[in-house]
Amino acid sequence: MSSLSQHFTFSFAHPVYSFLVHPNGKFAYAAMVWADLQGNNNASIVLFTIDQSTGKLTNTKQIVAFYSHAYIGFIKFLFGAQGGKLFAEYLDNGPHTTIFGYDYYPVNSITGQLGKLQSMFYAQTNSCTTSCAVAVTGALSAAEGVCCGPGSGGLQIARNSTGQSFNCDASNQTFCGDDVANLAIVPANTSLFVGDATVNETFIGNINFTTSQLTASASTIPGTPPVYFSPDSRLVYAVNLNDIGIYVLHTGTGVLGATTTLPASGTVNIATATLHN
Amino acid sequence: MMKVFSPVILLLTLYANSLAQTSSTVEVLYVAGPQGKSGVSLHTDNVNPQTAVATQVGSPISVRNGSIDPLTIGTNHYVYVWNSTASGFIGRMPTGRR
Repeated sequence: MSSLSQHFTFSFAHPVYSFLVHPNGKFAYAAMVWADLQGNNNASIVLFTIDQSTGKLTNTKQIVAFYSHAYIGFIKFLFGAQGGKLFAEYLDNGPHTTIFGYDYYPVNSITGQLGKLQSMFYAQTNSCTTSCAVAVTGALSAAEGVCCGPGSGGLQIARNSTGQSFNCDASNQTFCGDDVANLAIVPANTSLFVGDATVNETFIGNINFTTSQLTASASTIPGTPPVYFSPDSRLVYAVNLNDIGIYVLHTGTGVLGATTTLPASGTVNIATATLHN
Repeated sequence: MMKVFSPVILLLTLYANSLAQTSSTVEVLYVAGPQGKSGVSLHTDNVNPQTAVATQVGSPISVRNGSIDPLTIGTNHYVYVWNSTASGFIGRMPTGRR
């Protein structure tokens, strides 16, 4: 086995909030987020190129996106699986307002340039202060971007490519009406993991756009830990305070199979990869 | 005057021939922690998709408050470990292991 390591240090005028690698391996992006003296929430995204043979980064110093707003600030960036969209989760914390939502930048996969920011969806309720959540994932198909929200009384599940959507509330599934600690969608877009803050348990709802229903899996995960998935959706990782719960996921049914735990003390960052020989 | 921030990115290059030879697909879990403390380590585990059993691969790598971005280009696998505020740290990669 062999391996190499390289270190790069780049200077920026503002803190880098997120560094993202485009799925096609040609580009990377450094997203800076900061507040200015007027209290505006600002964000700039700088384009990098990646050497295809070495992985080395080159800072083009091109700012491919700039955003500024008095109340709305970005809190998360991520690519869909195909890289056609750079999703940006935001928090609108204006007066008497708490809104979580997602916008996206269209991505030119040839040049790496970002297009004009596009609206996707948002979640807003009067009781949203502590228990709203939104989630998005890039689909493996052209149906890129399933979204969910707002929690606290009901969930709306939408397929952005078609505009199709349906609601789930307590009359459909009890967990749909409870307070939501977090939401996560399987990359295959088959299931929605709902961290239910009311009963401190994570439920799995299978998404069916044919019947417009969210059906409950027989499996649950204790607590409401952040959950992550392998890119091929076969494994689920629940990051608990002292360990990482690893679950085999049957994507057709949303049922969890074999389970193990991996000790991990303190706050950890994780990432997953599915590698092909 | 604006303060200049200098993110550090550690690039690990991993070769396909370092992967388990018994399977055409390998599920990998990268864990960096504990965050917010000195002595953060990056661990790599292969995870069996039938049993969910994680098996550590190689030795942990010292990083600092690392966020992780894996990338595959062809048969090469890269892991970008970045930190928005650190400067001047020296990472290391064990020779011959991933």
